[in-house]
Amino acid sequence: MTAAAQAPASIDPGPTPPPAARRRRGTPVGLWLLVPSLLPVIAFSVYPLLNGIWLGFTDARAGAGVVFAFNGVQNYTRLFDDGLFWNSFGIGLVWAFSVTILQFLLSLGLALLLNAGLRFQWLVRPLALVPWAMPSVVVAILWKLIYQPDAGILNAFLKDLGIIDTNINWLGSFTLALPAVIVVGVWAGMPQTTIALLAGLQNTSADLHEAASLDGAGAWQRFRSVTLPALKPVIIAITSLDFVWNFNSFGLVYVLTEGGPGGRTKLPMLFAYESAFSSGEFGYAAAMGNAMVVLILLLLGVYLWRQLKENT
Amino acid sequence: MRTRPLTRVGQYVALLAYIVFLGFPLLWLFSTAFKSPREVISLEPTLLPRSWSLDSFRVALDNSELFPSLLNSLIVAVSTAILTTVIALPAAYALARHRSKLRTVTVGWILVSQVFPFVLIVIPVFVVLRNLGLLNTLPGLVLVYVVWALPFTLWMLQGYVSAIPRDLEEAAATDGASRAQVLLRVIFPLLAPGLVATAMFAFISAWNEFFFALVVITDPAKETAPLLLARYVGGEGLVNLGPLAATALITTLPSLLIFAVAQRKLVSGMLAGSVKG
Amino acid sequence: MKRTRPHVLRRSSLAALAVGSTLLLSACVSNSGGGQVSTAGSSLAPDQKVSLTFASYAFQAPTVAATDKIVADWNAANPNIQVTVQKVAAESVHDKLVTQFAGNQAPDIIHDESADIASFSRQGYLADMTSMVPADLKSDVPQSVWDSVTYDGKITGMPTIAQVYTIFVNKKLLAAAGVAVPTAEKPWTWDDLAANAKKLTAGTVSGLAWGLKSPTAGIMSSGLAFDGTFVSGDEKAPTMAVGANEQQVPNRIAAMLADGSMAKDSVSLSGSDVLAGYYGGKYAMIMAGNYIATQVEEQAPADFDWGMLPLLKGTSEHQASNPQTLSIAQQSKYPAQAMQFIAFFMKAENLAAIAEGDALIPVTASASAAMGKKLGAEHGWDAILGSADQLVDAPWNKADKFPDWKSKYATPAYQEFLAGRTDAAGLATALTDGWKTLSGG
Repeated sequence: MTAAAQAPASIDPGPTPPPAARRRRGTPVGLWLLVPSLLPVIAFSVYPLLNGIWLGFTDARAGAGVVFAFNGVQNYTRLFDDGLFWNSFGIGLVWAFSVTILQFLLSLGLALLLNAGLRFQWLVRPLALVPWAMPSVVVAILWKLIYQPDAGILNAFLKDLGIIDTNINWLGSFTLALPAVIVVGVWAGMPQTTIALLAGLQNTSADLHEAASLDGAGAWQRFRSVTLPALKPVIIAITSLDFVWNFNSFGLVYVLTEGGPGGRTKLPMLFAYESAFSSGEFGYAAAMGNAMVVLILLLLGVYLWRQLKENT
Repeated sequence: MRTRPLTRVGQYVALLAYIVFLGFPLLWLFSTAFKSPREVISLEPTLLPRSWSLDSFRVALDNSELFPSLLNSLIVAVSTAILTTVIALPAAYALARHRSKLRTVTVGWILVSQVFPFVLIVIPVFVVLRNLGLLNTLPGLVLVYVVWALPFTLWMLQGYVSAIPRDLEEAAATDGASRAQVLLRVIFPLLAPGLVATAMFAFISAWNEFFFALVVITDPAKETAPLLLARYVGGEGLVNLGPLAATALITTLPSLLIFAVAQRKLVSGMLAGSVKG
Repeated sequence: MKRTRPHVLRRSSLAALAVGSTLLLSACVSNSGGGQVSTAGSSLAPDQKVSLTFASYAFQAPTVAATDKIVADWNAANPNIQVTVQKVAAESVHDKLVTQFAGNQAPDIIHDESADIASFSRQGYLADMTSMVPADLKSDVPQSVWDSVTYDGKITGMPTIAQVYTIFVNKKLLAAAGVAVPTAEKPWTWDDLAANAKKLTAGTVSGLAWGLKSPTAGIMSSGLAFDGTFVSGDEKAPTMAVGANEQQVPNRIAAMLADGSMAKDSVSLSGSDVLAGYYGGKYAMIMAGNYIATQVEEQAPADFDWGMLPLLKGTSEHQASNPQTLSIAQQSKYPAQAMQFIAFFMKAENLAAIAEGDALIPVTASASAAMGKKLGAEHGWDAILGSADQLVDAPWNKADKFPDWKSKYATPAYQEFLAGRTDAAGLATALTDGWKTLSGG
């Protein structure tokens, strides 16, 4: 998983490249190797992205033969005054931060356990990947069943344990809906985080551990002084990636709650999706996209920059 | 490392808790698939069916589109995995070994592509596919999936490349090997486990994808499994629950099997790739 | 969006067209109408073959089978006009169409619903069918239903099957409480509903449950029985007023919630979530779309005695007409042939088979009669089938801002109201203010 770990480093100018690399700069090695990737990437990713970004500065709408024009920052002044959007942006931040942090902590715990040399690895590892294996179309419906107030297994289970005595409508409650969907979000994203951290853990040299344990360090101390620092690049990489992905996701929550009740789970991407697909306001929706790209990259930049600075 | 017995017990308990949390929905899917329509909705739900029914499986298997759609998904996901890896490998090598402005541009692309609302990309992608005559074709779908799996794949792979010491290449080069030979004989074998990991990621992302498939595919014979599954969900919250669960279970099994086989390689792959990182 | 295509791509698309020169030719023919519906299709050479695509979101297995059969029958009888079915997931119809329209790749015949084709009609994506509808078909559908598929004076969708909101009763519980099932001649009023719900509420049983997780459509549609039209004025950009008529249904719900005759926790459930409690005897009656009958039929315990009541009466029995529709894409090269197929689809026995599969009401009198003959009075089907002429145009469905208003303001406001977080006055303010904000923006 050093792979992802390289990502943040490259945002910074980074350390001076070693002499070998410097010598190679300007040689044709790099460019021709990129060509096979470049053509489809330009056609299916760069062009659509640039198109999308450009739309954010136009009054584009759905319609047969509709002509649209550049309208400068008009979309952005409208967006600035759109209280509902900013409200949903706030919900998006709560969602993305909670899911990412919980996902990280839980995955770290699981990765440590999977790395502890316990038995039944052959069984446990595929089971830990279950959320990844299930078609996402089914995931939301399944959780809806589990949360179902009258016929759902969660309420039945909690009742049997005597924790609750009346059924709770998890997804319909103004206070519980957001936490309930956050749990599903954490569940769905755990496999990739766990795998990334597990690989990172195996990366921390066993020699270091032994050296530390010979010095009489306890498990916790060993974890703090040896494992965690070594794991840091992986943590930064995977959490930032998770954050972006979580912020960008809405399909799961949409099927669970449709943004309700009372807009309590209306994620900003859902907002952009509705503007584009139900209202046909492509330009305005794209402007939301642009605004979110800038804000999220700013947030991420601060995070990556601070972490990297501490690191050196 | 020695671990105290009490700690060991605690670890097993914690592991069990994880498995319950992560695996439980699969059990619920399983149980729902085997319940009769009358039992699926009951005020006293039970973990396992009170009476086991194969009705849902009969409906699911009766659907003549089930196996073709699974086959389509398999074709699309395997092609995506292979193509993504093949395309990403040289690019990742260049990115890892050739720090330049291009690298910054690529990072920018990777981040923007991950953050920009994906729904706004769908229409331009659709138009490009149309102009290339690739609508309603599995190759068209594969192309899109490959490109959208590239950002993450590139990052993983270029990291694995970075983890391979330059000395190895330079030694080979001084022995008179050409650049292609170096790539093929030195880099490729070392990267093999990492390639498995990235290929798996690409596989899953294509296997589960819904939205692009929805707009690109119109011929029922070319549908992928997620499209078929979505048709068990009606409007107004209606769901044909039993058949949906049975079909979902059938479509989940292949990917679970692949995981069971590949998980060793996945983890040891990352291990091998990052030993020197 | 195609306007922003760079030149490179435009050239390649031209090249692709030039290769298939026959394709190019036929494209020219259909474009000769200059945006008007082309009639070129009807003057084809007698042996020219036409192929049409038909995107259907038929969901229930019998409906899918009925659709396939209709298409097979048609193809057998019309070797020169072959129809292929594209199957779309019901929840994804809109998204797929938005993309296909933008990419000029829409199917010829489009299965959707009247509320959803409002925006597509106004965006110019659907053909004007007004002059194409055969006269006998025209008179077979109530005018009020035609009104609901007419946008800016143009019919852009053929109405097929529709739903009504109705009360499903647990007959055993009604009998035990001495509540008689009403007849179509003397339906319950909303007052009767409240009184009987109270009678049925005892112990753990609630008289009435209504899954109002997505509250807007049900509450607004029911309001038409009190002439609650919400909007008035210009069809595209009307003004909204929430007065006494519009407040009737919310106030009645609030009253039933307050005295406990309507289950408090049911209003945050979805329409099908309440079924478990209905089968289990927790709710004596539920309000739901009549299509839920298919679920009840399949899932309810064998000894469960259920029925649907005639439509509730306010000052009338009116409800919003939001039928499923068959439209013809403006982009279609063969609108005349598409219309021929649609007319075939609308034949009484065909439409009856489609309606029966989904447990919905056919909007044509002929299909309704055919279905009535088969289903009889069981479960109250006679009264439900007879209610197609109670469906009236819901003016809000035609307003450009409606979908936006519904998701941003109406749904959250109704949810807050049902949860007791705002009162009727607060609801009215939220609804009208939201409308004003969108109209000003």
